[in-house]
Amino acid sequence: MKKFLVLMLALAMMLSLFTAASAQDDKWYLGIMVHGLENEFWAQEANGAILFAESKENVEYQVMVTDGDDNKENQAIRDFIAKHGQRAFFITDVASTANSVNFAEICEEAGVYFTMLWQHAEGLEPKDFKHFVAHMSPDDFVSGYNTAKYLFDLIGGKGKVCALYGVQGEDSAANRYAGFQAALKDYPEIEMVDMQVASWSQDQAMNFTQTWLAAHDDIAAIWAANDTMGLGAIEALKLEGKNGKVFVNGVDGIAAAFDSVAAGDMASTVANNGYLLMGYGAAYAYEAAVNGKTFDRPVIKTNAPLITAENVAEYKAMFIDGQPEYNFNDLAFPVLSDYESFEELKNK
Amino acid sequence: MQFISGIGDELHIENTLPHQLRRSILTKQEDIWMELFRKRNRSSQTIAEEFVQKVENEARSNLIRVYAPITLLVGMTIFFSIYDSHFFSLKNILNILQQMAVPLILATGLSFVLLIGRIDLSVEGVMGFVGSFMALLILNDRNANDFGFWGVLIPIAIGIFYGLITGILHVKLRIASFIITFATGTIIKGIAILLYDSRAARVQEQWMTDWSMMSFLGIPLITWIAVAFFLVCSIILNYTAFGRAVYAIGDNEAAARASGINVERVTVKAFVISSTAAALAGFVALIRLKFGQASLGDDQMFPCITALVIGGASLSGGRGGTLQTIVGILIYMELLNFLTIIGVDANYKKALQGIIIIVAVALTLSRGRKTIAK
Repeated sequence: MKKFLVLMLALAMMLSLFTAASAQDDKWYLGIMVHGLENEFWAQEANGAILFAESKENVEYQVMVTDGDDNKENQAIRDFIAKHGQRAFFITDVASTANSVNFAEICEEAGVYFTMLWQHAEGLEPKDFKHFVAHMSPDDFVSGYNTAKYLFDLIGGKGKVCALYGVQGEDSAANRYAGFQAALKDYPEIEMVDMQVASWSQDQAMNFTQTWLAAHDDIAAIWAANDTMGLGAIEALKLEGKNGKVFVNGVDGIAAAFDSVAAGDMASTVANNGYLLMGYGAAYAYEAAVNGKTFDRPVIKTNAPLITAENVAEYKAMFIDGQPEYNFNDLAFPVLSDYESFEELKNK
Repeated sequence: MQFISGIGDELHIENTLPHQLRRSILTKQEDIWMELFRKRNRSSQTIAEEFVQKVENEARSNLIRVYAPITLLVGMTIFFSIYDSHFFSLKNILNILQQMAVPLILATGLSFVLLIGRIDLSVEGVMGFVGSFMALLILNDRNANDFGFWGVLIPIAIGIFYGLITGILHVKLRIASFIITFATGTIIKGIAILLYDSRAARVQEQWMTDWSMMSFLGIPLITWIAVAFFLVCSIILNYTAFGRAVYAIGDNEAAARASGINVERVTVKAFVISSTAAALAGFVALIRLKFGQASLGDDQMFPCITALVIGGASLSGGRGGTLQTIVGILIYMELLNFLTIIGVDANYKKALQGIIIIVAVALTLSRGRKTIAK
């Protein structure tokens, strides 16, 4: 009986291998790599890519979660490539800065096209790899700068400020904070009292804010590197009735942040627009894989609008209550600015 | 019955005893006998008198182990208060009390599991599930649900039941607690994410907002909830047969089994208590944050385990208890809070935390330890 079952199992496996090998040759397979789905922004990204895939008849997609783990991501893409060969293409919010190199090398070797978002290792250039179609991200530095500037203007250009940092080692955390620091330089009468690493966590941000309020009097504003941390700071302020009086910002543009801006608790956020990033990112990779298009200026900074009380209603209707309608054939749409290489971006 | 015979330089253990029991008796007695043999040439006491003295010494060093953490806690508090006056301010104390609600609940539940020498990695997942599912059931901004009381009770009940499943899987399949709880924790967190379909719900219940700000006698309500849970568990641990059984299993599982304790049942019950704690912690965390993300419980477990060990618990079981739990939690929370108050550079903070934990644990270990704890 046992031997019979084993034989049947082996036969079934072989059969499935054959069917996989003789897959239809007119389909293209999109691998969507995100850090996770519990975070609304990452989920937005995945949905954006799915929007694109559904707009094309010959694209099938698979969403894969990496948990920020390099090995998990690499194994997932290897498996995906093994399954679909050169008909696979990727859009990735890459697991880490270091893994951006591994990702590029694995795909280049396999002859698979991909677009990468957000992080990239120092020295990694899309032009060095034939299959590295483009690198897209909002300009984190600009996001950090704009939100900080808006906060500083709100408190009249002087006062005490505290900062909540993201996860140490992540590009977006470092770049947004660099933007904040650049804004600090422009406002000599603003004093940064303390900075704490809240690691994108609402709970930690709340604890730090509570402690700050006890340790320092008259804090005027709290700068947070993302929405979740901003929301945590606001909860702490609510316990003392200071929400709306002490100004807080966020970055990412999740639904809860939009509501918070509308309620007057959060001063501003940045709609990073995950839909746009992955939707168009996938479109770029598709053009390269299917139509052989190459992009001369593959380093792309996307448009990430600053959301404040003035425009929150408009953007909420667009991003949250509905899903944005994008014309994925218009590849110039997401581009705020583009560059030939990261070198050029650095030297500008 | 005479199991151990032979004074002098040889030890004979009766071969009729089960192997594990033999070994554990051997290891324990070996320690004592070795000590005696070493001392024998230096004193003129009889073996029996030396044995009695040895047992008394052990009891005394146990006392040090129990009271060293408290001494450390008091010392720390005094030092921090002098160093920075903001530390002992009313506002800061209230903050610490509020922030320790969730860790206290988790640590209390985990102490049961730790006492029997197991670990429960599923608490983070259960916390996240209970918090996010509850947020979806009570008045929120994602859907039209308004289940009120049932919206609170059902997720907690599921969380408690989940501990039963975990415990049974661990006991029946005989898979190490480390692995099985990691697996079940991942599963339930995944279910939580599926349930809110990547967009977490924001709670809009007025009573939840009120509860997060309410306090009796100056102490926040959520801290009272935590303390109440802690007291109930203390009674269970110290005054019931189940509690005694937990200690017995942790001390020597084979001996406990031999003396008629149903180890499987006690183990499952311990996991149920742990997941009850996790469910309650998820509820309290939701009161605080009012945002039902599945990551509600992330990074909560290891600090609790650290706090328990600082307080005197042992990862291999048998040592620990209610006093250890609360002292450990207080030490840990005060330390974190102090580092933030004095504004330690974020880059050095993690390293500093680690160093201080090593120091704190080393200070509270019992002297006369002969083996390295696993």
